[in-house]
Amino acid sequence: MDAPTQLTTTVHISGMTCGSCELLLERKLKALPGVLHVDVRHRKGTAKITANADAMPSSDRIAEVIRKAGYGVHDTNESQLPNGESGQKWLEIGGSFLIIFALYKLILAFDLVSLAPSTSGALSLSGIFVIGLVAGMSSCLAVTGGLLLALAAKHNELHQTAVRGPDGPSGPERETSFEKFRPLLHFNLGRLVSYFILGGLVGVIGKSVTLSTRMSGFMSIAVAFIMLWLALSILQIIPKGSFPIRPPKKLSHWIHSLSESDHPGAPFLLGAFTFFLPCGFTQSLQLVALASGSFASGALTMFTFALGTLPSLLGLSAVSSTAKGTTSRLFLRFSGALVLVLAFSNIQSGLALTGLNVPSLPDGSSATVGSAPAVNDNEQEVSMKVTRFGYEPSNLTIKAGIPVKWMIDGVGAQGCTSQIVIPSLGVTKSLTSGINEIDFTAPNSGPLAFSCSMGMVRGSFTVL
Amino acid sequence: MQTVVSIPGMHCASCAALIKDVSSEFPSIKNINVDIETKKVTLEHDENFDRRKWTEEIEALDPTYKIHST
Repeated sequence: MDAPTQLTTTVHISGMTCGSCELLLERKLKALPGVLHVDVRHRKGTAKITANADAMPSSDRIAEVIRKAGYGVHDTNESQLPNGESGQKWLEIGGSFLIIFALYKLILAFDLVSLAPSTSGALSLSGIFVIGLVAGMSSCLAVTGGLLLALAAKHNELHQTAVRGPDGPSGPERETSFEKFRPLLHFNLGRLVSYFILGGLVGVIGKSVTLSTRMSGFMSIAVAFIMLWLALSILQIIPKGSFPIRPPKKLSHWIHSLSESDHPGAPFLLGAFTFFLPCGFTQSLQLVALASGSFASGALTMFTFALGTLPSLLGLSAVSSTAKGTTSRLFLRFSGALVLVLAFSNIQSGLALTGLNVPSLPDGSSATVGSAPAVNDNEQEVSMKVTRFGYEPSNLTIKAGIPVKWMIDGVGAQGCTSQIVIPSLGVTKSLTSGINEIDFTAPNSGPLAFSCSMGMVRGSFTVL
Repeated sequence: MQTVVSIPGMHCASCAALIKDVSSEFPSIKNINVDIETKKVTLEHDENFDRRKWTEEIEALDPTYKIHST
């Protein structure tokens, strides 16, 4: 066998954060005599150096160049170390999931959501503010807060890793808490502004700008995927910047740049965009703005609502921006896990809204099945009650082809349950706290799903 | 002579180091200051400075580096 004319060696490098680190090191290493080709991967933290067999620079020489550029070098046996770290990582992520589950149970136990006043009827501005406060701590936090957390965590991560630069480990660009807070402020600002303007528009046009049920279902799913991707990359389960399903390049670029961009406009836009997110409170207040019929009162209604959601969103922003060191790392883990959970719940809600019958999360309460309907000559009547905990019964039995009189007692209807939808039949109805009647006919047998306008509370008909 | 340009695509210290490194190959550039916060690059150079060539070299590094005059 011929003696190889070229040799390749792989060096493990720490401290690389982006493509320009790769370029920088490639340039520095290529400048060494004898080196033919250098391939640096910042995601893997490696540099593959190809050189003439008789002129391979010594590993000390290579390490010197890398250290001089401001990065760390570790030997191959040292690279075993990340395994220990990764064990701790999974432990922390697992712990976060446990805490989230405990919190979820706690919130259920305290029945926080039930504090919300009914959204039907006339409302004073202070009443709207209170609704905002509650929304900010419940269902809206699930969607908007998830997005905000993802944004904060992403920003923190981006800037924490960027601190270590070639000028030494303590670069001058360590961010102050306020600088971390700034994009989150933009997010909330965007939210306030868009609620004011769009609220006013709704008042003027006299037409709701909410999307159709099916569209908001797709919207939920789209948002969920953004959140899912962010969560996985925050948790470093998938490498930074990669997208598992490879959507069209333009789309992924758009999501990527919107969620990772440092431009102040991006968080602002993202905040403004939350007006369209499927949230029951937002939707029911849009109806209030709609009824007001004027720009001023419509704008004021939505603005006051957004203001009400502000304390909890700002609190979230403040916590996320002041975290440092270990706290910050734990925050990343925790928010990553939380965003992941919320993403899955959004996917589930989104699927429900697009008309698919999805089993709800196993939450201990078994589905109650209603008795068979009383069929008269040309009509069948079923009744259901909306409670604070969901639909009672959540499964009803009807016959196909015969008109259904669906009597709904809206006694506990609030937030998103103040609207009920049957996505596959295009039925949408706002519930008041008396008896509401919905008339429809199920065309064929099989399961027929219905849900609240956010898809979070679900039930189904069994059509015979 | 002094030229100030802004490169919005710079986001971290290694971008700054990279730009400095490339610029050091231009003998006409006497001094360079890169501020990542404001995304501004200040060049001190003599009259032989080839602005077009420098722009080409920098922009070839990364598609996000677009040089804007200030």
